[in-house]
Amino acid sequence: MKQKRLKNYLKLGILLFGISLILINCQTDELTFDANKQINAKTVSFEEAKAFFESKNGSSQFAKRTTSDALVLNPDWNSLEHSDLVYTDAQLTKANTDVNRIGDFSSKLLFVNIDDEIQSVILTTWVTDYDSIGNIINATIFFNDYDGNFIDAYKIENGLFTHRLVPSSNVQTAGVFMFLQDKEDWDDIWNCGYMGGELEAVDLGTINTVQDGGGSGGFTPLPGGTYGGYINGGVSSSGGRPNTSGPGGGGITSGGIDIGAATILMNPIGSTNTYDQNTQNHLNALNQFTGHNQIKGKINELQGKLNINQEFGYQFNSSGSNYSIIAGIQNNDGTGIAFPPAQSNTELEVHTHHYGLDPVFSIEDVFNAAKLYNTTGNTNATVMVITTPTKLYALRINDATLATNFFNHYNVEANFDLLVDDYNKAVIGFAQQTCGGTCTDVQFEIYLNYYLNQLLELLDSGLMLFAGYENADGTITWNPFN
Amino acid sequence: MNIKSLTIIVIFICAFSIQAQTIKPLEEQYDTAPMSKNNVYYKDVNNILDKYFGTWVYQDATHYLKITFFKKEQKRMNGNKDWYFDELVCEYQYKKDGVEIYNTYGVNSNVNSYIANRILGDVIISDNKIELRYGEPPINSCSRTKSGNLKLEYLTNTSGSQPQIHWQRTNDLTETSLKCSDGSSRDSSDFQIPAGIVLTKL
Repeated sequence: MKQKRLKNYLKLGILLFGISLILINCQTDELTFDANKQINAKTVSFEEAKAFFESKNGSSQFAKRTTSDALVLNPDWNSLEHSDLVYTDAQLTKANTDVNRIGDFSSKLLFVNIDDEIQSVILTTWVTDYDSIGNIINATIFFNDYDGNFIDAYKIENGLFTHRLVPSSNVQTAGVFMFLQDKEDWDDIWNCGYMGGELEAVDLGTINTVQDGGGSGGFTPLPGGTYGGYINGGVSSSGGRPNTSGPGGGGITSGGIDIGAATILMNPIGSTNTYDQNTQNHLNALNQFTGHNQIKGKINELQGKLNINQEFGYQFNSSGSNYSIIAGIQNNDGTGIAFPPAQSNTELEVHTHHYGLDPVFSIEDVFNAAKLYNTTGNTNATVMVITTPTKLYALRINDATLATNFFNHYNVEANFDLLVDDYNKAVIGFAQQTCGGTCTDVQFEIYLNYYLNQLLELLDSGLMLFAGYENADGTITWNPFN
Repeated sequence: MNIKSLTIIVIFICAFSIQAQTIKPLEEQYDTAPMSKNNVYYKDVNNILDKYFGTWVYQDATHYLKITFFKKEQKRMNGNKDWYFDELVCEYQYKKDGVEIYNTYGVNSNVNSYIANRILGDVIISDNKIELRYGEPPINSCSRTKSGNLKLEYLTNTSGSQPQIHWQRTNDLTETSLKCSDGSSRDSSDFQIPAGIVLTKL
């Protein structure tokens, strides 16, 4: 009898463990790449490249598709050459190829050995603008597999990789180099009348690096930067861009495009994943705020009031789909902005920081976020701080009970002093010590917010931190800061 | 041994292994992120803080500062992690032109109340250099709007005279819009204790 009961407990334990694993795996990350990734790349020799290609069809000419619209590749093996691969000592192997498709484009086969496996794609470049000396100004590049299936695409503007193009109907599953994904719905993009009609652009500047939270293996410094920086930095460091003078960028060489493409292949972006419903609800609310004309207008105004010896801000009181907007009181004595007491319909407070303050919510901002909820009882209560013309952060109520406890505890002056000291140690102190005086401003900002996020969790604040990035078109993309 | 006995033994072993606290050198405290710390005590096993113990004095025509440092051991970090650490705290008396501005001796004597003295910390920069969080008590207010860091460098005694420490602090702004509970504004005035001085051990 006892043994039977123990067996039942064991079964229950296994079930609970399984459920917890599923729950852990259900929460996925934002669109990121891992700049810390150790790239295990090797050079593919000319012989290996040719053999790899032929192994796919037993022919030096490749025509796998069986339909009348079969894709035929006719590589020029005499054009085989090696070129630099950035972020590694290996070299890229490439060969020009003809493709039986009509259009003003050129195609190459790229080969690179990653983690002891040869990866090869068709790189197609469609140039729309050259400069006077033949360098490429504007272009689109496409990655296709040997079967002609669309893999990925990028836009080059003023000689820089600026956007990733993803199928607009299926942003959630558009991964780079995702050969295993079902592309039945869009495998004709190679031919889609032509190139680009069904794609939408994702700003590479919004795709951040993976942030390593440390662990038993030790703490890995955050790299900072964006995917655009990763690609364009690689191109520039390899001389893939001609010297230009004046603003607005310049051209990129054909070789520079190859380097950029190979850089993408070596460290692909993780697929855009879905968030759990709770996080998605937060993101929807933030998108509503910053998509609202009245609010966005004031954010634009505040973006022009950074790095001065005053703080500015607005309080937004909801009235249906409109907001009454109340300016915060600006202090000239170096202290923070003071908002009027929140009303029951106060939903949002946005402010800038005084010159010299760190680009992260102050501990008073954190406390005020919890206070705003406790005053209004509105779980949509949000505070935002604008740190740069393209970056802002938001704090939202993630757990109302915890946020209430947090507010009640630290609303006592003596406890608030402890909170200030915790913040100075766990956020400012940790960021300073991690940087050791060698971080860039961007990296320091990432560290500050990383450690703030840790503190919010450590103190069971019930608050959740989000980062917003303003795209080139003026829209703001929000992601949880994790 | 029956199943019941075995189960009890396993539970005890698990309980002890879960509760076991890891002791690490204080120097390693900032190497791992806060949320990765659990059941860990960052202890000053190399006694780096010890050289700052005792009472130190600085005096010139205007300023008089007497400060006594000591170590608070196994202080618990607030929050949901069992994260402990050693920390240097202090009491001090400061006079300006003969007028006493601050005197915290005996005022804030339990572990957490040392925060009220505003000078405390645990960052080990090197064997002879540490960094503390810095503040001063507010004047006629509940809190100040300024904060800073204080670097203390133990000056190696080569001439047989009393040991000295070099004191260098920053003067940083914090964001303070909250009023004190009595409705008054926080103290936004500058710190009063000099930023760069050399103290001699009494």
